[in-house]
Amino acid sequence: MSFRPKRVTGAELIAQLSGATAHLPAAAPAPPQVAATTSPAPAKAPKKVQINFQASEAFAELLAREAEKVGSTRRFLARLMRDAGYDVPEADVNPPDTRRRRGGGP
Amino acid sequence: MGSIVTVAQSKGGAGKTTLVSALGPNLAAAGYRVAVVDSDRNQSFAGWHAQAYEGPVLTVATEVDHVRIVDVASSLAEEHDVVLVDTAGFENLTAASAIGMADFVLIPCMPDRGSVRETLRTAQQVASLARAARRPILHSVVLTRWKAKGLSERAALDSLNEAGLPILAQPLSDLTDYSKLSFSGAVPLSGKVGLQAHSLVAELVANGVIQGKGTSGPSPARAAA
Repeated sequence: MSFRPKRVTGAELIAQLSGATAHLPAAAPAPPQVAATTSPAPAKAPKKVQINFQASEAFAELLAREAEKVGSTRRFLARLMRDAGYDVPEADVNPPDTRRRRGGGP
Repeated sequence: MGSIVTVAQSKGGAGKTTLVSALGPNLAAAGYRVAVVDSDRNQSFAGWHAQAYEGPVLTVATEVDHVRIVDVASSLAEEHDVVLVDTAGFENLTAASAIGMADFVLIPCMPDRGSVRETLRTAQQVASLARAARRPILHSVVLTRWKAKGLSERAALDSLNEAGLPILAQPLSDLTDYSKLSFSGAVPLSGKVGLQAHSLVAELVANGVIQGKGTSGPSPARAAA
């Protein structure tokens, strides 16, 4: 014997069937979620200019020696000025290290 | 209120959309107000209807959401005599909803081992959903791409009978007309395709799924409710 069921709403039917449909996938895949933790685009390096100046030989040697300790003259001066309270661009405080490594192996 | 007939089968390519494509226009030609809900995200039926179909008027909706499809089909059943729901060829939530709300489920089955196996699985799913919904969900297998005297057909039929599945007497034969209509958009309302569709409709009427044309009063299914 057959009978016509009472129509129920989608939400009611889903609730009724939930026990039998828990393992089933959706008919259409959900749209991909955009990752919330996408890494920001790398900052564009500011335009650079060349600095040359005359100085005494002793000061030049002192500057070269101290700059060698932190990696570069640019970084040394930038750190000095930032520590003194000036607003120094990050690109100058931590510039990319372009020094050529000398072979230290045997 | 019209009947909701869901065509479901967890195997792809078993003839779900072909069955809907044959039944819909032939039901409409017989005077039924017919709606089709395409719940396959490939939109095979809706695309064919929009781009190629030539024939009696059908209302076509697409809905792949497993909650909204129930409301869409129920709403269409208010204004139509028959709502056919075409489903995607794998077990999914939307197909489960379409089965859960159906007045009748048609399970197409081709004469091959994989199709028979998935027919059995789909029938089990119908039974499982019927238990969850706490009501019987009537269903029958429709044999598709069927050669009357084929060996694989005999083997498939043996397996289906062994499982005790109800099978409609009228198969959809292995005719090139069914593949041609997917290109031409013209669904034969006579000839072999028309005759097979008419026989299927007659079986659905006999099963109380839809009301016979030319009869008045409630259908056997509604009268029994």
